[in-house]
Amino acid sequence: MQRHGGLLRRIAWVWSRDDADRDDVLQEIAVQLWRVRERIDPRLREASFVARVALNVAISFQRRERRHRVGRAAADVDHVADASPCAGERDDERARLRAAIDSLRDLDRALALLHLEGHDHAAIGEVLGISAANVATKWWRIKTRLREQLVAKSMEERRCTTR
Amino acid sequence: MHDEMKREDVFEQMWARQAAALGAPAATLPAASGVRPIGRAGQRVFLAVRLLEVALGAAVLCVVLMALPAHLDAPRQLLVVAIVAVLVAWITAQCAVLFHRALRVDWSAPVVELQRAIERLRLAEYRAFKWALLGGVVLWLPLPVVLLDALTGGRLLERLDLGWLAANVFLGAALLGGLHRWSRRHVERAGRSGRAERLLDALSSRHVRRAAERIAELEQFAAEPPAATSRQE
Repeated sequence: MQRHGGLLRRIAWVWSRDDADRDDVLQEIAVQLWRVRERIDPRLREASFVARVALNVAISFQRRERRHRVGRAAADVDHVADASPCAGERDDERARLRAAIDSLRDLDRALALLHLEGHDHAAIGEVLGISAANVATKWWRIKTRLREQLVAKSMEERRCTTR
Repeated sequence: MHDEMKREDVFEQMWARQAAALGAPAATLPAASGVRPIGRAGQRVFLAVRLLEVALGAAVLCVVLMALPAHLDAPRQLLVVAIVAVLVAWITAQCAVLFHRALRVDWSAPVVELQRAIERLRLAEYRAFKWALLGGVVLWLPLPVVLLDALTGGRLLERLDLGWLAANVFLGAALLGGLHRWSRRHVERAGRSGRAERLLDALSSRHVRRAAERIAELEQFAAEPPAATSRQE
């Protein structure tokens, strides 16, 4: 847990809406890591094993919370910042990052996160349970999508500043 | 081309700049204190409820089966008891399957595999809940009669007019159809309580559809890309 604390916190940030959620996700990850500690697959690197358990917990947590949240608005500062395309003044880099990540589906998000965390395609494949070739194809698609989004976002911002 | 590469890097640069701050220990890691972490009750409650359902279902099934020999000489009554027994056995088996699957969930499995297992578990849960609910509408009269029959030995089923019993079953079935139609019309309305939501989702099959869609999405994610479109870094 200590060795991979940074990775776990970033996973918790990606799959949570606020600080309380983040703490809950971390708590659940800790519980599951504790439970499966005897089952560490020797073929996997420790970081991959930890990422596997953490992603499994985080994705399941978010899906469960999403079901419970139906009908009530989630009070999330990060998301409020994205409400208006012209909210340039308050829209910081983290909010842009959050918006880009949130636009991805769960598993694409997991793949992108692992890539950004420096895992190679083979390791990502091991964590997700797909082939390295599949990871490469998907990462290329995700990158294209993110690029298009960032371009669209910066064009919106430029339009806002010239107004 | 150079421009595109620069844009690609923007996202990775943003992440690199934010990563340290996002990984900073704003929240204390539960195991850091050396105290054994305490699990949230969710999974244990799920298992406990399923176990209770299996135990209750098995008990009801035993009682229903006790009533069976007393009606061997009357085929129509035997049919009613047999139908009740089959439905109770089916619902109990569904609960047992759910319990077994929930016990076998392995959080250290590859992400796609575990998410698939969880969605299949959810699908089974929604189906079991839906059919227990809908079956309950049909069983609401025959089941108590058969149970009382078995427990008191009063041969209540004999005294009941089977036509009346059949009419009640048909009423239940008609109610079931009506509820299903009504739920499909009102399922998208917001602002309901959690229980009402769950009931409506089960009746309208929305939960089942959602879980099935999620499984299809997972299959699509795990599917190997066609060789021609595969792009390497």
